[in-house]
Amino acid sequence: MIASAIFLLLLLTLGSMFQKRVSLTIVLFLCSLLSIMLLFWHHATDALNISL
Amino acid sequence: MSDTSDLHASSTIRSILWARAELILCHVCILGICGVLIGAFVIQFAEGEMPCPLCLIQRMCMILAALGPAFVILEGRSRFSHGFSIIGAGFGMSILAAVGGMSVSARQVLLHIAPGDPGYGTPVMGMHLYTWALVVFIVVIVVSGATVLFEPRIQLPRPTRLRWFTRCTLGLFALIIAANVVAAILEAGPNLFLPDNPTEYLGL
Repeated sequence: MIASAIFLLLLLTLGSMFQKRVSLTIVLFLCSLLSIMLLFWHHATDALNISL
Repeated sequence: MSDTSDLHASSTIRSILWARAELILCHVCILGICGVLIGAFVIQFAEGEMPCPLCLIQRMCMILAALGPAFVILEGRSRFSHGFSIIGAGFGMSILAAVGGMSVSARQVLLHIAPGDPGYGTPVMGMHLYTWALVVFIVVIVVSGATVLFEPRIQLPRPTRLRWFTRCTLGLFALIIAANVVAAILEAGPNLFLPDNPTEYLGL
């Protein structure tokens, strides 16, 4: 569910580029990057019991 | 006087060539990443190999890296927009995404680096998909860095309407992202996170 939500966020980022909304694009890009890194953190630390 | 006008003309021609080369490079970057993602889909559906959570995160980072050139194509008619240098912002986005993706693929390479470890999935041309992903992210960083370094001084106006190949490229890119949304829903089903070693589509 979270993976598909992040893919959807990436699609929204591309959509905001088509709408020429530069600030929104940058914000959505940073949100996507942060979400991906948090998901990576979750999977990387799962075995250590310190995951989010 | 003639020397000055010749100099100006040659500078304009150089700028046109730079702008064209930059536009072609952006299309090649997006199509290259689309090719890698289509290859991943072929391995997933034709050969029946389920992508692990780290594989999906690498796909996300590749899409994120391709959003940079898409930004340059769509916003590149002006050199600056809302205080951002368009080329700097676009390829900066690609570098950030590629650094994130590189850390994910490097971790997966390190997980299977022990001698005798067969790795995850079937190797393609001698290397596993996560090793190829690491190569792709390194290439993205090098190409983006070089593009920002050699950014042309003068940005020429481009046609206001998107050309057919730009529309096809961006359409294909959007289609691949949408296909990834569906594939992730099928794989995870009602679960919040994907299992570490997926063996079946939980959404079917």
